[in-house]
Amino acid sequence: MIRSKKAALGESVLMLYRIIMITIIAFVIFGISAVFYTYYIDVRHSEAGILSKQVINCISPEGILDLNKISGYENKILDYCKIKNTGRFYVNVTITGESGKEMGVLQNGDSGLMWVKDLYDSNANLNSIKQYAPGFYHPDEGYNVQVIDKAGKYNGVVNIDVLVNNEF
Amino acid sequence: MKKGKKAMELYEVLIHLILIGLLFAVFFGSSIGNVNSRNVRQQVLEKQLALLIDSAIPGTTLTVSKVNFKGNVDRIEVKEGSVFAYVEGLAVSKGYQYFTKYSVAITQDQNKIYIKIT
Repeated sequence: MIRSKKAALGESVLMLYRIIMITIIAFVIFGISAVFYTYYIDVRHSEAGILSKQVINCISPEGILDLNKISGYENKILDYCKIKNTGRFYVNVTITGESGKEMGVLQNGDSGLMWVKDLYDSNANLNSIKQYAPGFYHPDEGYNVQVIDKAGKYNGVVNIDVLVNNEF
Repeated sequence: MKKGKKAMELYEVLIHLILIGLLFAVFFGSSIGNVNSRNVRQQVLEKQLALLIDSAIPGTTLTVSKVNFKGNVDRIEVKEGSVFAYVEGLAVSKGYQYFTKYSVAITQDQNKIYIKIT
């Protein structure tokens, strides 16, 4: 009787061990299939392009950029434009006058994202973490606008950089 | 006595086989979701909708058919600035954020889902 009890206990321990081993094997199979079949779709460059258009339309409706109205929002331009979920974005708007002199800068977000972008643009081997590269949009040419500020009214050019960070 | 012992052994083997079968059934069932690429299709739909919502002007209505040649769309939700799409019976969705300043509302009928930007 005692012998069969010990045997039963040993059998239970063996069974538990076998179940653990089978569970580990099943997890490995599932893990490999999850990694192999996962695919990341990157739309951040498109997001950056759309955001730049929304910002330009917001700050210069019908081509008139009134810096007096934007006063106080120079570092939170996306709040001025009532854009939501801005945590992933960095926006930099530069306004230059006819002479090429910089007349103003409007920003929002963490400028450190530009360093991350520069790192990915360099020839460093970052293929294994490619999905963390930020999306970026910078138009080839600036937008011609009429600028109104305390100095008066004059023609200017608006350049914009938009960076979109990953969503992980 | 011998028959009883053999029966016990057979019983134990059967229990083992059933347990192993159950475990593998659960994990293969989970793997089938990945192999079918439902997650990829869900990701595509969510990101497409987010980009369309971001670029839409007020008064725009986006229409999504529930039955598509690439799979069925069960439902679409917008919550806390993100759009969630559930396709082919998938119960979980990570969603994707949109940034439009306009309001987004969802209605549906039997065959289509309508996303209205106002």
